[in-house]
Amino acid sequence: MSSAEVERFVSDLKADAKLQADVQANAASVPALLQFAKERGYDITIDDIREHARSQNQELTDEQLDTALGGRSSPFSFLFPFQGGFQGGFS
Amino acid sequence: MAKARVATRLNVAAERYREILDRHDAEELRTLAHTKRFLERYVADPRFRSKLQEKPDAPQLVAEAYGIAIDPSQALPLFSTDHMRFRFSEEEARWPVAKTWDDYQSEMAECRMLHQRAGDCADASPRFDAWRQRQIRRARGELGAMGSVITHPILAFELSAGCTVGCWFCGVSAGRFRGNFVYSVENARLWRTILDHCVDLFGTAAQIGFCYWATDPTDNPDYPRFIADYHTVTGSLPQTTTAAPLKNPAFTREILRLSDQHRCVINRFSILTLRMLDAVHAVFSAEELMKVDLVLQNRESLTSKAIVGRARERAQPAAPGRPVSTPIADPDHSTICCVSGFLVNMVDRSIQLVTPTRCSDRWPLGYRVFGERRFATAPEFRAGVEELIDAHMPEEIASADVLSFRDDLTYHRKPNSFELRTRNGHFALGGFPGAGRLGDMIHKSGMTAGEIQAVLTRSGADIFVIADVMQQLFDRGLLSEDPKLGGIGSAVVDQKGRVLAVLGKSPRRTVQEENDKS
Repeated sequence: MSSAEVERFVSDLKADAKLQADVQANAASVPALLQFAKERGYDITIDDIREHARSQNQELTDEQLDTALGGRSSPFSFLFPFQGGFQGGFS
Repeated sequence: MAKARVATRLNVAAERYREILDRHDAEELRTLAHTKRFLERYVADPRFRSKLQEKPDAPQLVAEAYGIAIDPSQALPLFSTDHMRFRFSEEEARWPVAKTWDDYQSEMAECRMLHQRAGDCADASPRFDAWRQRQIRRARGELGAMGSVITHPILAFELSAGCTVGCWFCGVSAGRFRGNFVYSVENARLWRTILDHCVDLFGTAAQIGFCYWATDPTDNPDYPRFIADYHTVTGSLPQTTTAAPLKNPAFTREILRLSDQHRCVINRFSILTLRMLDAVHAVFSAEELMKVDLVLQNRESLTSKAIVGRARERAQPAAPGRPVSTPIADPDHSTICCVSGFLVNMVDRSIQLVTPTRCSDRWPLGYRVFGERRFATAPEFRAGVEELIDAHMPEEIASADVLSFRDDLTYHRKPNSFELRTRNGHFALGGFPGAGRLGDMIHKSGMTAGEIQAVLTRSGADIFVIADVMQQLFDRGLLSEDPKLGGIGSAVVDQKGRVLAVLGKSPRRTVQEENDKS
């Protein structure tokens, strides 16, 4: 187990066209890549891969507004929250 | 046969609902029940609204004439446009009836989220749970405001074929009534065994189901016996919605009695006409209807209708010379479907895997159907459910999957990153070599995960980063799983995992085409 093994796999992959073709055909996901690497003698764990991947400055931000609480356009929407909103009003 | 397993855990959402009601004394409950009745009358009935406007200094007299025991002047933020800005603010305490109602509504919103979470079943069925969580995330973005109020129950059982009510706006275009699943000895055994299988497959999440869809519970005289069995096996009484609560008031009261006895989340009556509202208010007291939502579908109502199913057909241009009845449109009210799971018809013996979606020509009923199975026996039912899980619920991306973003997302390319925008949020991805190009390739669609990975690694990207990011995009429901667009999970595979066919169509591009650009 080590990040060195991960680096070794990445390096070998760049240098080996056959290895690239095999990966393309068989290993798109992290678990599949792990199995693929292990079968070829690389001593890698799922945690090594995740740690390595998340240390490469990837940033996935996720911002969803919660429209259940007051985010609707209709001011009446909260009267009957299990239904849709309704329009109109009394002034 | 599944091991008979009586669930010992109570439905947490139903329990919380009961706690909420138990916290109020009789007088407060009476105020809530009459506030609810006032709002039903206000929303549904233009005559009532006119009378309130005619007597702005004596709204209590107007309410009293309808048997409503609250003073509307203490509830102004709930219905007066001049006062609505005070809702959910500290100042709302100046109108104690409104404050009590809105406090109750806040608690109910929490209850609804508990109901959604009660369908989680990562331990019992991790593949199904991962699929459902993706559908919940997708629906939140795709359906806008409605997306966050859908609770995604995992099971819906139809105990009839078709429906006798025939609502012109039926969001699931229910067909003509063809017959009932009768509570015979044989059928009762099948029913209970199927429920046993559901508990075995999904654990306590099997509590989050109900027994109608394009059917009305009042069509089946045995409906109360079936839902009582549901409670016995799963530990939870299903919620009931009917558009015919007056067809047999004794039958309706039996359902309400069962709901009280076994603790059920809120039931619903669909109100089709103003005359029907008058009758429902006359037959059932405000207190009796405290735990029943009235869905005000009458044409005078201020509520919007979901433009889906038959209502959508009606909203289409009519033939020359024919009048068109166009329902009030709310662009976010585009489905009445709430199930992310299995829709089972006990008469036809069919199982469909479904999830809510925005209605369109592609999905005119407001839900996607991933696949269908038939069954004659309980073991076949279980096998059908398991086959649907195997066929349509991959937990990870496969090399052969053609990747594309959901078609409701708007793609924005940045120099070294990309953004995806939904109706109510956005996602951004970047910070690693190849991020922008990854977005471009998925956006243009047509390439498999393996091909994308190969193009990017050849140009220097880290293979583990790419795999991890693609999985994150999948887990967050950002990649297309629409079976009519050839999304992930659309492939029909044989028992050895070989792809036999892909449902829907997706334009295919080649890896050579992409490489040529670099």
